[in-house]
Amino acid sequence: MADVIIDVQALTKQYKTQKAVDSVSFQITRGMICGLIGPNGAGKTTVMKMLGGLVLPTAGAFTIFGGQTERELAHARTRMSFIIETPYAKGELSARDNIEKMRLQKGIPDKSRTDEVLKLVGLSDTGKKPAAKFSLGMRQRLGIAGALLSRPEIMVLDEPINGLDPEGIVEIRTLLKKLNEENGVTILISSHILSELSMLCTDYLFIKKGRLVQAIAAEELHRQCGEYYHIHTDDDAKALAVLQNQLGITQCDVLRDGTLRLFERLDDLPAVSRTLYENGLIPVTLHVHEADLESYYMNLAGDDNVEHGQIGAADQPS
Amino acid sequence: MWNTVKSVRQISRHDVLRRFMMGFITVLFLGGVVGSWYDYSLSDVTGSDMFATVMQTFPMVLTSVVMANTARICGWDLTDRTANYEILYGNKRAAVYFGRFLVALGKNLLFVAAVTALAPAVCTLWNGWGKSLDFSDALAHYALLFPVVFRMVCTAAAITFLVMSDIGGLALSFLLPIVTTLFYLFAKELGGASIPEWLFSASTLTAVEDFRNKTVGFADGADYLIYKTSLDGALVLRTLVSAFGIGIALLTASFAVYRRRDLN
Repeated sequence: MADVIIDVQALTKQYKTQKAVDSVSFQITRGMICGLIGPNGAGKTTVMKMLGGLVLPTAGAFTIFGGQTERELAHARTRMSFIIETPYAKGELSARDNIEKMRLQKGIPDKSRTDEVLKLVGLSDTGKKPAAKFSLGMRQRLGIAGALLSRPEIMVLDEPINGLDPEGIVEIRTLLKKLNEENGVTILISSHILSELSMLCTDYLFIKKGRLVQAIAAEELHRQCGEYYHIHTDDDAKALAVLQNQLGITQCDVLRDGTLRLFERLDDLPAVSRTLYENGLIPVTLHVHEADLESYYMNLAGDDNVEHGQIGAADQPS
Repeated sequence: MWNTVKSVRQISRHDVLRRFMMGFITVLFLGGVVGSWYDYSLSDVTGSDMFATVMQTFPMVLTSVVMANTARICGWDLTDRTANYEILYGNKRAAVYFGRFLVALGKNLLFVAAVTALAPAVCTLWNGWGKSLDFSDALAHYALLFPVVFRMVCTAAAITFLVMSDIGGLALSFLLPIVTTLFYLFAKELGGASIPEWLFSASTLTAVEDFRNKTVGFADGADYLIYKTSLDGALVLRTLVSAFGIGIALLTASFAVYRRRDLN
């Protein structure tokens, strides 16, 4: 049985009349790299802030390492690291002084750890330059250095590669992968750079207008994102039956609008087409579709009719 | 809580504005105190004379500084949200709040103790304690400074955590004693004796450290000042009760707001 280390149940945050987060539930298991994906204002940061204790939930609850009370959650957070939005840094202080402050805030007695993490993110040669004069990328590195200070078991990272140059992005991605694979660090990460997330994540949470619209494993998402026929005929139900009976199709999804996604016979379009015609079906749409995380997300984000928790149900494989 | 104390102490050392403010005001204060004796030869000013001058000058200059210093210590990393890391790192809000308060209290008590004792100590070493004020009376006045400083630190910390800004807290904390003192003095001048001195920390301090009532004595062939102090049991009690009562009440109320606040 998977080791659930973050368990979020019906978490809600309401600001006056607006619900920033609306009854969100999900679980993070040990070793997962979970991408939290959604448009600006979807509620990603609010969810992370609630986990971090900065924002107090209006309703719902969550546990971290099984702890739920204020005392237990505070203790659990000592085993975690957070970067929320642009990493906070004291503009007047140097990189070293900022990390030193974080070391004291975390109560880490080992002073050499400060230099270790600065070296790890490539900021050990910034001298007395105040953080206010750092580029956004340098500030991100500073935040990541702070997050690594305590050798966390869980990292919650909100847009950690925002502002980094391509080299920096690769470095951070490699570092996060290494932490996950070698140290078993569990990561909850949000980013707008979906191609990066697709190279990193083992699971995804899609959030929109404060609601969780889909939780899906990367494997399943890749399956759904892979090549498939998108089929729409004058009678989709009959088409499904025909394909199952005559071509022996087993891997086919029926979407909410009735159209079909066929994941088999991808190299035999004439056979599929002929079978439909021979059974009196007129294909309105019949083409091979190839998607990636980005187009999957755009599909999801663009669908205003998607209701909470129903996408998975509607996309039941037939 | 000690994580907070250590980190706040660490960044306070880098706070150029705060250090400049404290240094500048200390020089100004001591300069003013020494300057008030310009009619006399400094070799005639005894420790007790200087003590009375220091205490009388304190409410005018140092009250605002204590409060501004508190606002800066408590609020410097609230504004840029670096204080939020403490919560993200697993410190409880009580630790974040009271850790800052403790640093501010410690630094201000030390500051006040040192600045007010320095000039009388130098004069005592130079010219002796003198006859102007009984040493035990002076000690009582000196000791009463600290409960009032405690109340000031509580007030400034409470304001700073309410406005969540060092600049806002600093401005309000600096102005509050000036405004309340002026209000108290005007009300008193206009015959409004109904305003009790314990209502404001600045007016409490003015009442406690009142050395205006003085006469001239003569001994060993020379004149000297005799300060008639106004300390009585009721004033001491009012000072202590108001300092701890109002201070703790303000601190607790402000913490209750901070505890339930979203830190966006």
